Amino acid sequence: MLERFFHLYLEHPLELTHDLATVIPIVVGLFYANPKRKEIRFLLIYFVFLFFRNLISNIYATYRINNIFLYNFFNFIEIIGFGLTYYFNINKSNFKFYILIGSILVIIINVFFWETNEFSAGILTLTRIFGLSIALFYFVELLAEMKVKNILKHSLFWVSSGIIIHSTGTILIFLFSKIILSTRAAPDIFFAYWNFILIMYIVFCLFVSVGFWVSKYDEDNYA
Amino acid sequence: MKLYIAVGTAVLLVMAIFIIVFVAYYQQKQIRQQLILKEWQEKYRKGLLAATLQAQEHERRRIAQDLHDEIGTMLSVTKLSLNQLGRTVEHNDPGSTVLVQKTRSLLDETIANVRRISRDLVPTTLERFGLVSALEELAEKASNGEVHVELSCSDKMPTLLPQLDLTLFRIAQELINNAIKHANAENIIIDLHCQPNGVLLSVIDDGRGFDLDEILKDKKRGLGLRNIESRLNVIDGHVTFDVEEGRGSRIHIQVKNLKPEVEVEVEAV
Repeated sequence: MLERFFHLYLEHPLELTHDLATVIPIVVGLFYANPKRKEIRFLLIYFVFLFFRNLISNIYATYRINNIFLYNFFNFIEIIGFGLTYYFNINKSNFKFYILIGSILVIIINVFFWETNEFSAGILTLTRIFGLSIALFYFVELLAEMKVKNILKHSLFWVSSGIIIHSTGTILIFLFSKIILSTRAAPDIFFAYWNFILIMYIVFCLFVSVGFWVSKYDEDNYA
Repeated sequence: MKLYIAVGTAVLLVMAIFIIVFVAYYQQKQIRQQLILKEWQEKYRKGLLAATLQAQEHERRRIAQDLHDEIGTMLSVTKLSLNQLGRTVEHNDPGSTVLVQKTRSLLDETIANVRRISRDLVPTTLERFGLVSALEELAEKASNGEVHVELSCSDKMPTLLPQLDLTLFRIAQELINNAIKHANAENIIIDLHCQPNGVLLSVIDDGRGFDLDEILKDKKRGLGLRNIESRLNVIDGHVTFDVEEGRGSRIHIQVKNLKPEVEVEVEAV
């Protein structure tokens, strides 16, 4: 079993990089992030869940068991993780309310798009739109309030940038996942897009790691 | 179709990167502008405060001059007339001599008071002989049978800017007044020492102290202390209050001397 496990990694080295990339924010978050900040704690928990999803998904792949439902299911955790991250960082009550309502609404709609054996275009796309929306709203809020002295030392700027890049880079691929990520898609097309998704994910992990790293400056970075 | 997805994704990614760069750039630019605006406001506030203090000093000087030149002169003339009247009354109505003498002593007291108020309003010693002499005089004046004020200072004191001299003198005046009036202090030490690039003035007393937060909260009571802070704000000085209710106070004033130093030998007290 272990032989096949390593064989899969050798066959798809980007998968290995992707799995290792998940460890970077966890390590940075555990050792360098500011544990006082709730949003950092929620994101860290999210990445721990992500690590276990990858681990379980790889074990399933080794045993040739369908693991696609894990990717679909993880979007629910992603919505909760992102929702909580922003919910506890925003002071405006109406923005908090929108995040809460938006999260519940997207989760409910996603339930109707549930698929076990295929990537669910509905779930994946809606989750990207949700992530993109709150990250952009946060940017608008950041520019309107001007409460951060140095944006490059603000943790949620990096996290939001990561979410925006990850979401914009994968939204169209997931929207048309029925064509390019389905079991019927040509392997070269599937792997080309799948690898691109993995690259986007690695970029997201790096951005979040930077966010975790700079979170130690957050306390003194508010004007 | 697959190509369109790739092109669409690339376009979206470029847009995303543009948004991120724009947000970072615009936010930094706005923050810089806000900082400039804050600096400008601070500068304006300081200028306004300096102008207010200057106007206050001018007004003091004018009042002192009026007291000395007009009321002082009038009182002196009145005293002369009274003396003449006294001499006349002495011959014609010896019974009224006591009343004239009483009036003369009251007039002397009034003249002395006018002189004192006039001198207190404008620290002439400060202008003529500098801060150390002015503080020496202040300590001497404040000392009486119940209160002992002592000045301790460095052997070599740098010549300070006139504005700094005046600020330090006024602050010392206020603190000594507070120590005597509110803290019932018996011993007060004025400590004036030069530091690299500046001067440290400490006023230490053995009075009953005070609760700084409570005093500053009360708008009516903390006027003197707030005034000290305002004066120091104008010259970029700092005040440290080492105070507590029930024990003596130690108030330290630190100011930077911007003028090239010219050292003056001072005999330490």
